Amino acid sequence: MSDVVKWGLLVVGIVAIIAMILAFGFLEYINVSLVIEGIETLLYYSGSALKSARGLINNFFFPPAYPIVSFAIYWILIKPFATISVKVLVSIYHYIFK
Amino acid sequence: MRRQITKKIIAVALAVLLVLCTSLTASAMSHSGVEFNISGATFKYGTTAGDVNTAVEVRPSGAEYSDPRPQLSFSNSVSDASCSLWYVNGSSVLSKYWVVNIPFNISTSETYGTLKLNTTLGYEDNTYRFVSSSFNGMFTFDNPTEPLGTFEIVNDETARIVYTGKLPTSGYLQFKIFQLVSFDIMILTTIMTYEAMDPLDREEEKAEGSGNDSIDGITNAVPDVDFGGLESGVKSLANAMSYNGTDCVWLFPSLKIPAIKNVTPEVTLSSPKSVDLGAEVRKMPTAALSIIQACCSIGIVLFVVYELYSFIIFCFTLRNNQAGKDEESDD
Repeated sequence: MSDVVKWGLLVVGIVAIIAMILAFGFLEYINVSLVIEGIETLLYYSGSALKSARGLINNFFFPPAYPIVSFAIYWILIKPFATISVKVLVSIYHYIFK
Repeated sequence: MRRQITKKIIAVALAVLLVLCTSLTASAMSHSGVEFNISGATFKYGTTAGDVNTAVEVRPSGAEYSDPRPQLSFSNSVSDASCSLWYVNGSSVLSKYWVVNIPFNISTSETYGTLKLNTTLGYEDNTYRFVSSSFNGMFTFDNPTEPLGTFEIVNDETARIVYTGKLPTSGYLQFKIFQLVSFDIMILTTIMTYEAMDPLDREEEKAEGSGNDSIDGITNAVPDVDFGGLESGVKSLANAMSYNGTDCVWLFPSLKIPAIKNVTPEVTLSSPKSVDLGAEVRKMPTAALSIIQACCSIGIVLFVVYELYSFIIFCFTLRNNQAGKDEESDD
């Protein structure tokens, strides 16, 4: 099978999965806006708490280290997603170029 | 061997992409401001510059101004038939259900994303109100008589909402008001005199409207999800991450014994108190605090270097901290 055909099959598969999920119609029974709003509120309060916590943490660092602390917190939060992204990408490429 | 090299190239490219995304996200999340330019808008039945300048106010709506939805108030009476919102591409006129995509676009011209306000409904004959489920019942305004801002038309293609109101003191309210006023309208309200239109134009409009109704029917079948608020929440979190102050104020609410009807009134045991834990830390002996700061600073640098190194190794090997060993077997 050529690579183009494999890519095509992959795209078709992804579209079919999305169509299948939408066809279940469960979105009609879930108020997505409220869910999003709830997440938004949680994020806001998390942000407030994180800001206070960050203020406390900063007391234990020299000011030049603050950006590094910011990066470290950011990295800790995105690391799982970055790791999963790499794995997914490698899996896709592995399937395509196998 | 070739597969190995390809995989490694992909991994490196992905790492570079991640770093780029991180830096772009960080730069996009570090802005604030209260003046918002509107660009890319089109006046179909052009109200020329100055016609509604300062005549339109962006106010909190609702009888007691407890409703956070912004509304546009025109100085002259405007009937439903004569006030329309137009898409940028000029193809849609929706009389009662207007879907408005409002990208954040602060005066620095950097795009934040999209805040979707669901509908705009006529409130009074000279007032139109943006309605968004995200805003409903969220807060009340400190000063209900003060407008949030003015809606100014700069020219045929540009308008702006300039925030002029006073922000409430509460942080959450500030956040919501910021979210409320910090929008940038790509679709503009235009005052058009329907009766003054050419009959041919009116027919054309009607035909176009019915065509659009069909399109809207299909569009409305897809769930309408407003991700604008979510984006603001993420921004709030991201801003907290990059906080460089040393204040750590925790607000402890007041303690009260609730009133018992016909027995006792509400008893306040303590008033709300704010405690700055950061100030308590700074009371430590300077020498001891300096040693702790030095240790922590060195530690965080080592941690970041170790984490980055680990991730690079992971990209190349798909294994944590084990360089040179490939998890997958190559056939």
